[in-house]
Amino acid sequence: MRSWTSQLRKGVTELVVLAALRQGEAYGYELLQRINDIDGLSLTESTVYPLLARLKREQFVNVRAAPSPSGPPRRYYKLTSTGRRRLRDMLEQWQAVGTAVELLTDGEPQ
Amino acid sequence: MNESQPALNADARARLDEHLDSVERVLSDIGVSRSERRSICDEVESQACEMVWQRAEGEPTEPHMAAVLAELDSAEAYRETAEPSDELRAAHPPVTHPAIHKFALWAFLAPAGGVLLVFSPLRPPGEVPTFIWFGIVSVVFAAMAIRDIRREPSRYFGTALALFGALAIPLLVLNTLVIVQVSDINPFGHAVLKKKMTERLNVTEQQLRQAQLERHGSDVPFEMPKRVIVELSATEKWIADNAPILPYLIDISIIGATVTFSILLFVWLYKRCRPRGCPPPTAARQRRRLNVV
Repeated sequence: MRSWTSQLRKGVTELVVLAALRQGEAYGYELLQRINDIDGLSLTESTVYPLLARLKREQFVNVRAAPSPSGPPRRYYKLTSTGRRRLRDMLEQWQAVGTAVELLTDGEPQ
Repeated sequence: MNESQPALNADARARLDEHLDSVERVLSDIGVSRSERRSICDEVESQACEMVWQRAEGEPTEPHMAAVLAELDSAEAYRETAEPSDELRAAHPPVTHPAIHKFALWAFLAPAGGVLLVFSPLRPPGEVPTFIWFGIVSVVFAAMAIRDIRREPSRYFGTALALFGALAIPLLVLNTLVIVQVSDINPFGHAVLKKKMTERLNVTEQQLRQAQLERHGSDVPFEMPKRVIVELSATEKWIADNAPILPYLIDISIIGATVTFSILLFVWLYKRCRPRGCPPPTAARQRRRLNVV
């Protein structure tokens, strides 16, 4: 069960990060807190930062640097139009799978 | 580093740098590009600094930093989550284990089966060479195999086998035609001779009947003589003398020539079709090297 949960979370990580960025641009740690504030979503920096690097490489997010009061400059991530499209596609897939699973689990046994 | 950044004391800084170096090393091992390594390490540094300044009342010390780093993921955790750069992936594509296509194997074996059947007691009667049917089957199998191999080269191999199977019987037929043309031998000479002899006997019988009718009228019933001399040409004599072994000689020469030619063709095709270079031995080893899960 633990393995399944881990795989499920791993599978939706990109969706979660993109969805969190839809609420507005955020720097890495802020984004991490935004996600972990929601019950049931528990991601760590070793998952999110490499993913952000990949999303930047694939041009789903833009990055800008701004000074930080507590350390090195913060890198603010913002969804690009491609990123929004990607999120929309992922959400469609997510809803399709969710609906299908609900149909199966809610249906009365024959 | 930004000018507005509050400086950490040397011990805290050293502790943080140690962690960042470890993360950097793991990312480098995996094959993450330099720019992405820097980007990830900057994020970790930024988070650690923000956390440590939130906790410490005043200037953070080394124990504060140690406590923060204890809450963060270890450097090894990045081994599971980071991805190698595109360049490294392109240089070392995932290794798959292609298997020989079953139809290619059948295409290779079918002609051999056909030839063996010709020499076996199960050979069906008749003049039509049985192995030609195996040749047709072989060509169909080979076509299907080559189509699949071209579509999914990472999954199947066996193009050379399929080609060999597809060409074996057509080459055998071609060789037959060449031998017939070059040597002026009729491979079905035995059958032709029998037919000619029968025709000639029928003619002779008609002539004898006619001769008897003219000599004795229709009162005496005709009886075919037990011994009739029929004159043969030199070639027909040679065929008649060698009739019991001739078909076998022809078969053996054709098969010998076909097998020799096919082996040469097979070697040539194999050299042309085999993949260039030496692929990495196993997928597991490749994954270990790249640390890709």
